[in-house]
Amino acid sequence: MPAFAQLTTPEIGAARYGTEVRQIYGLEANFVVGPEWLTASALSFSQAAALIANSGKIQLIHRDGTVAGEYATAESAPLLGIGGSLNTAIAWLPGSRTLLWWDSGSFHTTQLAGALPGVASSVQSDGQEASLLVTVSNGSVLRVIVDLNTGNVRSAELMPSVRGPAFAMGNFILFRNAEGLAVEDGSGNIRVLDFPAADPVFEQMSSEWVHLHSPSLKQDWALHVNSSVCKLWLLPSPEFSK
Amino acid sequence: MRHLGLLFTVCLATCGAVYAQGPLTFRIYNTSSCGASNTSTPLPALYLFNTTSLGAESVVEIAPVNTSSSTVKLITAAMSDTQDFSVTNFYVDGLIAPGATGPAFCVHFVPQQTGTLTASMTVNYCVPTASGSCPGTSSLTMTVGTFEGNAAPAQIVLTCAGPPAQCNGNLVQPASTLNFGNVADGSTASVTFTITNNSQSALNPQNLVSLQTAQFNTTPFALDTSKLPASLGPGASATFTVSFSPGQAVLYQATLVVNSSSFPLQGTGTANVLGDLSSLVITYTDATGVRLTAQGGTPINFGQIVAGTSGSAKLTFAVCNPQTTINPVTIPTISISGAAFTLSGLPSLPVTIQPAATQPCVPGIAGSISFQVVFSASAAGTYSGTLTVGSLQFALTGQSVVAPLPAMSFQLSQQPLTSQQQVNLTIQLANPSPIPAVGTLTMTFAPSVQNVKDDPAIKFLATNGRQLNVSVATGSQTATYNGQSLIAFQTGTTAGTITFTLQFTDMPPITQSFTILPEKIQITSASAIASSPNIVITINGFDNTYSAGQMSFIFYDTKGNMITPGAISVNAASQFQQYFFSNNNQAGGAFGLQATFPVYGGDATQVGSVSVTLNNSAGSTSTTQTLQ
Repeated sequence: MPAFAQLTTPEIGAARYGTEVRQIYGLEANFVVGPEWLTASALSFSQAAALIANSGKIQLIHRDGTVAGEYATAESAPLLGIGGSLNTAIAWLPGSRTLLWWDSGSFHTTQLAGALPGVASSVQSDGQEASLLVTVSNGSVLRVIVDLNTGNVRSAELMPSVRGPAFAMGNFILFRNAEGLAVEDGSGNIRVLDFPAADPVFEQMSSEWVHLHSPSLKQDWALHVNSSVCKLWLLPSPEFSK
Repeated sequence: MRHLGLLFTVCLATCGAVYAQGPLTFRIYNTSSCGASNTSTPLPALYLFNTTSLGAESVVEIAPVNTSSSTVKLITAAMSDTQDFSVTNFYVDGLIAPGATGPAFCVHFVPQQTGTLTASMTVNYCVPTASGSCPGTSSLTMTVGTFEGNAAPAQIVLTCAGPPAQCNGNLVQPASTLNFGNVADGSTASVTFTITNNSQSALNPQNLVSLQTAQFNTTPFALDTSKLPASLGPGASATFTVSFSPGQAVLYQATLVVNSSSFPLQGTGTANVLGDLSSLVITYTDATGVRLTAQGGTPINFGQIVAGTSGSAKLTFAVCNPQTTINPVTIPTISISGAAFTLSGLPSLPVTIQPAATQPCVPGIAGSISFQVVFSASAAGTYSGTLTVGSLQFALTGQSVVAPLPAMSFQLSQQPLTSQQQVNLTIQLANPSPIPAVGTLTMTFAPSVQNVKDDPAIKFLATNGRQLNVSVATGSQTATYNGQSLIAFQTGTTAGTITFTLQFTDMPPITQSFTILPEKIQITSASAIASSPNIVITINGFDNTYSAGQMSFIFYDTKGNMITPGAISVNAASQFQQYFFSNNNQAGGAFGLQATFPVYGGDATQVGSVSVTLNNSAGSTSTTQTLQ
């Protein structure tokens, strides 16, 4: 017999409706939207932790909502990313060209040496480097790698098939192209899903789920993507989000 | 083609052949009536009728004369003004030999309006073949002449005999109110009016006398014109009667219209001072606040409702005993008949009403009682009933009509429904909608699993709720939400029945149910991880029967050999029951299971895979996971 067995409500992750953060339970095609949990103007969730921005501060929180660390900033539109553990948490503060990252129990900042060649739409960290997806003026996307210790740009790689604004989650890159919602894996294979909105806004719900919101259609979706799954579902859109 | 000349003359003596522009001439035989006459005069190009009063008639009799050398066949006659002029006795398809006079016809001038009125008359004719028929389509048209008449207002005067002060032998002047005085309920006062024709021509007085009452209201005034003749010659007189029979103690008004003059009528019903049911004043008020007085002889109309809807029409009745009544009045019973009508809000019966009511009689005043009558009907049609207050009876009527919107139906993108699906619902109209409309779409769920009340995942995705408003545009055959005709919803993870109800105003609700059958446990994701010294198996899925219990685990080594002791059976029914039926269940039949197995006497990394079987009341489900 198993020494230990536990039954729990399956969790998908967390999604932001306006400034209300709600936990999403259930399974694919069977989402249950929980009550308002947190307030945020931006967020990024992994299975282990989350970064949220709200009211002049960026907080790193555990999945139970307890705060691991907090950083005060006047940045109005921070870009947040967290891939897994607390040490993968990173924020791009475009107003001050600063990367905010977590390591060994505290936040650290690194100012970028120079300027980005465009507008950053996604940021990731492996603890040593930051990876930003940057949309340049012609819509092309560069992957810019920045040394977190020095702030120096180590590389800027053109991603030939990707159009900005793009969003990275794990090894996958998501973007809207002419056919629909494109999902490019780490090998460069692209899968296109039917997607009606031209203006998706991406936020990471958990390590395998991305929340997509269309301001124009006032509609929400949840994308489940991992090495074996790539499916897009409608996410319940509470009236209050419209 | 031969051209035929026609001439119209008025004959005063023997008609002579006078050629003009056609084969016929026309002659006048009679200018006072439509009857045979032997004298005639040629019909002039413009014939003038005598001045004719409204309601009177002038006539001229005319005969055609064939002035040509061929037989002429008359086909039709026409007047350019058919409202004030008409033709009778026209010799349709009549043959007129050369030089002969055809049968006479009459032109009538009956003005419907004052002033100078003119009409031209034409005839269609042909020169027939030997058999008397017209050759082909060779009919011709010629003008008979132009007729003109001056229409004057009717010159009539009125006197009366009866209670009003104006009935004193002098002419009754319009605009002065003719008061029938106080008349006890159940009694009648009558006024006999004498109408005299002072014009120069005869008129029909039956067309000149009418009674007008207030819109929507009933009246105790009655007009009797049975003694009026159809024609009243110049200087002649005739009589008609107006009676007043009040049913309640209130002031009544109406208007007598004679020719174009109005004569206000007034009368006051007075209560039976002894105090009986006839003393009571009964009024009713509809939903818009319009208050009317109930009359025994006029049905109380509840208007229209839409068949099959929850809509109904309610009237609130007030029964008042006026102050002018001396005695209290006792009502022994109040009842209603007619399947579509129901009574509510009745006081305890019998009830005695004190003589204390002031006007107007409305619910709640002293000296009154009130109650409601509701009209509702599931099928279209006209319904009738009777309201009985003591010995007083009032007819009731109401109409139930068919809904204005076309029939609607639900269509699903997937059928039959199963659990854990996102499905699109479409609302289809049988025909393009003739009107724009907004309705409410509601979804309900009835679980078939005992002791389960609901599944929180069953929602419309657009609102995360179970109700939304849909719109139907004029000409559209689908309803939409937020401009979208596809309305997505989730089916949840509980067996049961989803019911959609669509409700539009003035339309029966449309309801359709879809069943989600119980099924085996569905595994949506699984993993097995060797985390020495344990093996951790994680399974996400759902059990829409909430009956999961028996589980089985078989471990294999990296070579595929089953590891002792073989199948490990676990009965987790109590754990699943506690999970599904606790207050913390937020996801219906969805569950996440994590089972941890310690590995004794060996290395967990030597375990290659695990086969898991889960059972519920619908069957078994298995999955095999390679250890990571």
